[in-house]
Amino acid sequence: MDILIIGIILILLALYGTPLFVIISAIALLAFHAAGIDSSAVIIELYRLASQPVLIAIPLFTFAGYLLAESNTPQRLVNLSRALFGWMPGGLAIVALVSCAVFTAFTGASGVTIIALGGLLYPVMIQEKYSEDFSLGLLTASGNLGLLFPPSLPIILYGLVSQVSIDKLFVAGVLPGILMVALLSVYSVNFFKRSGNEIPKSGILRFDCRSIYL
Amino acid sequence: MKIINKIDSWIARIEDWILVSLVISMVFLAFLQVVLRNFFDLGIIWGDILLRHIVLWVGFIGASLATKNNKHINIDVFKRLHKGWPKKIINLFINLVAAFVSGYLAHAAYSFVLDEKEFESIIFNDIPAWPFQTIIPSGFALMGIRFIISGLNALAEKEGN
Repeated sequence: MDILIIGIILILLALYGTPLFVIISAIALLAFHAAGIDSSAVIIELYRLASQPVLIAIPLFTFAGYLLAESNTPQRLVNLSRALFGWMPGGLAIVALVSCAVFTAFTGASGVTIIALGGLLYPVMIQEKYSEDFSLGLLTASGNLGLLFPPSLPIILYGLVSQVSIDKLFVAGVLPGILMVALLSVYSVNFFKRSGNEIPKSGILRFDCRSIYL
Repeated sequence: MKIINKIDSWIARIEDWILVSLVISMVFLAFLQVVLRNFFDLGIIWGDILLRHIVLWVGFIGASLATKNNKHINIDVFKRLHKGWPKKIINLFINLVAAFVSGYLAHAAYSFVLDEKEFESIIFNDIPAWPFQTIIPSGFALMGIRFIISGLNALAEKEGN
């Protein structure tokens, strides 16, 4: 009964906007207390997890992601994928999918994709007469695509906490990741064909090699 | 309240500087390790251990700054339903709960560091571990204080915000 009440209180607190780390810590502290273990054991566990050698990947990838986002990489990535896929029906949607997946993978899925690419691709999609619903949905969905490709941080974290081999997790993620990109591309092409839009001329873009170093 | 907020932003500025220098040194040290390992078959033995502790420091300073800016991950479905003074009371209450939990964690971390000091744990050779671990209690304590400040700020906030 006590556990039920505490659980309900914690869930209510969480839904009313208490930072989630507070809720999780509270659960840990309560559980350790109930088991009669000193609360400093929570910190011992925290210290053990926080000083794992793999964790350094997280700040470094986040840093890399912000560097990429601030240095016009999204723009160039979009240009490259437009040159590659712009000619297809629904090409822009595929451009969005591919650049989001690549960018997410490069930045270790640290969550900068939507900030970096969303603001760039959304206006272009609206301009080329994709509906608002479709553009928003596609961009938010593709922001998570690279999650399954190495070196994604969520997978590293999951492997750390659940003690599963991170290498195997990455190998396991490749096929589902490709499948998701392929399915979403097929859907986008279909959607484009059914909506009766025409391929805009601006969609076909020649890739300028100077972009590589500029 | 104004003075407290001013002191708070001064601390935040110092934290910003520490954070930037830590991240920069982390990038350089990690890169140096990669180069040394791959091209010279060398490596700084204490480098990785130091890097892990820098990560710990970056994490805690970042968490403390996130507390100041109200950027901890949270769910706000229910909070949207309220306006005016009920919202203020909820904000105050939630921040106080968070402050209490952080304070408790700070206390637990403090006894952890004392234990480590007593047992003379080392991170490498004869370098004691506890100075590197002091960030855990101080980080949690700073977060607790900041939760109280944000609670009071939420209470003092003008209508319509």
